Amino acid sequence: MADSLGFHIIFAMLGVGLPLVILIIEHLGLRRKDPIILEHARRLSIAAIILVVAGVASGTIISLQMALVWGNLIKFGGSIMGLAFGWEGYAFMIESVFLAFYVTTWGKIKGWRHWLIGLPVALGALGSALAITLGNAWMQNPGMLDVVNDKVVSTNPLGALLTETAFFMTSHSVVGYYLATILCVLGVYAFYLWRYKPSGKDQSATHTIMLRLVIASFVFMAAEAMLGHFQTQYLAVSQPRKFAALETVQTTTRDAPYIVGGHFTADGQVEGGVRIPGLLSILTDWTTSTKVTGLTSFPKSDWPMLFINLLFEIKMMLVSLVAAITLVFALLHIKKIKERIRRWRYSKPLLLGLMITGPLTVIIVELGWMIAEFGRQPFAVNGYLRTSDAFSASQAVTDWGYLFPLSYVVLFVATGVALRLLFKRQGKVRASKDLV
Amino acid sequence: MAPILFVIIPLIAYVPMFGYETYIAFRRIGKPRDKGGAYLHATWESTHTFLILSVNYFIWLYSSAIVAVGQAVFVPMLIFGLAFILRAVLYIYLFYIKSSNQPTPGRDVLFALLHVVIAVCLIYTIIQTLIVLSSGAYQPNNLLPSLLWPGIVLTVPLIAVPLYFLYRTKSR
Repeated sequence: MADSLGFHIIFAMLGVGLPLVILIIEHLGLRRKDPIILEHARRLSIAAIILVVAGVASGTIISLQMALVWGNLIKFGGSIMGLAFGWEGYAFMIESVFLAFYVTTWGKIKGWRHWLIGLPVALGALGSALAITLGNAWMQNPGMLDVVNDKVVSTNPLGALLTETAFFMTSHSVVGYYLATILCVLGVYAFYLWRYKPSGKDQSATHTIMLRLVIASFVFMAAEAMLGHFQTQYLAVSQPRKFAALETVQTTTRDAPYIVGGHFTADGQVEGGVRIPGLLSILTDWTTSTKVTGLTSFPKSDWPMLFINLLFEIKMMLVSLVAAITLVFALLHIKKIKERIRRWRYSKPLLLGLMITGPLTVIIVELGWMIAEFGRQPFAVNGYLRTSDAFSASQAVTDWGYLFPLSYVVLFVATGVALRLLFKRQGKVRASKDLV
Repeated sequence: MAPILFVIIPLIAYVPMFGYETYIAFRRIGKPRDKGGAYLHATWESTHTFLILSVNYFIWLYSSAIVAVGQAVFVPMLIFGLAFILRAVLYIYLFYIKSSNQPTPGRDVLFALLHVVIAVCLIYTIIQTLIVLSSGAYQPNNLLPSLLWPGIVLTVPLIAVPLYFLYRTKSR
């Protein structure tokens, strides 16, 4: 299942973020009455269709895998998670139908009416992401739970889903998808500049779009940093077991140090790293007297996968790198800087840097979900249903289950090739008068 | 609204749409794209969201039966999944990658046949599922329908117009 989700999250992430990016670019094109900018938006919408096709295929397979391989999880939590997945179905239906309508009506329905058709696409994508994440948030920190005969019985599934954990997870995830998509598209434009060297109006349009995207990325980066911090603070209270593994806290203590580069051994000892006294307690609740629960407060059989700290540190390093590259690109647009320095903003090294921010942000999103999922182990539903009990194993699953990840690889490669060929075939952007 | 209706209604909507896609998949074999070899434009993902909705509803509304159903239909669903992904890959290739308008007989036939494979697997799964459910041992999650039907009331009118427009427009 991890293999399927690992692939699906990429399609889903771009499916959530691209409608917003396309609307931003189309909005820019309509305000400036610029047919070249509108053509950029049109081309991106065709790429979005290909990604949604791949997303539908991968999402269908995940639904099947859930039913075939994780039947006990569904049996346990169906009365609550079913609500989230039901809503997700509606939101995705709105998104996919309107995306098809949006792409088909370029040039036929013009101006702001066409832009308005794109709004349900973005809202449907947002709704879909929120709904699915609600389901996962319940698994991370289930509330309003009565368990009767190994099945959750809840008279308030809505209340069980809409929790503080749900707020933090949905907001942090969705903002992350928007940010990752913006940076992916920025990287595509950096490649477009480097490979096709557009000139004249197309160059001007490309520069304008890139500047808008990098400004948007900073807004989302700031929001993401804040949400990430408050989510981690809440994690210390709501999921102390995961928090202890994430922040390498061995024993419960006040004045807890923040350890950079340390790691857990198999028996829960923390080794190595640089310790910054008191910082973890301050980060957790603003004072060194904050008590932080350690890993050894929990039975060893309940410990999560202890390498999530390493994943977290890699994630933060990548976040810093991505932020630095985009910051340099943005700063070089400041008009007060001398032109001989500003000229570097479209230099090959910086364009290359922008090109790699896209894949790096995809890795950041993957790492985030790995931390969430590995940190919840050994539970499928935190504190209630162990992963080993959620798995409905059969001989057929053991014999043939490998075909699922194999088919994902094929789908992934095909989608990548399609996008690459689509991009190559379209070549330089030309103004299309029927869009204005 | 009875839980089973949530499963059946999207499936009833899916059948004619998928049937039409299957018909066009066979009709286009051997024809250049600009002379009858086209396919429906951008409806693929819209059509299959109805199937996803039906599967989704079944999984969550009849979650008590899912382990038994899963064991009964693992192999046909695995075949369905592989066929579905292969069809998606071919769809991307035939309508977004291939630059020539000329037919590619082998791939066009495979694309069409995969529709049949998908249909056969789905029919088998539906029959096996009904057999499992008919034992009467599995009760639906009766709390969820009241929370789910408002979504139908909102979604169906919203998508009706664009969906009609999509099936009326010129094929790819």
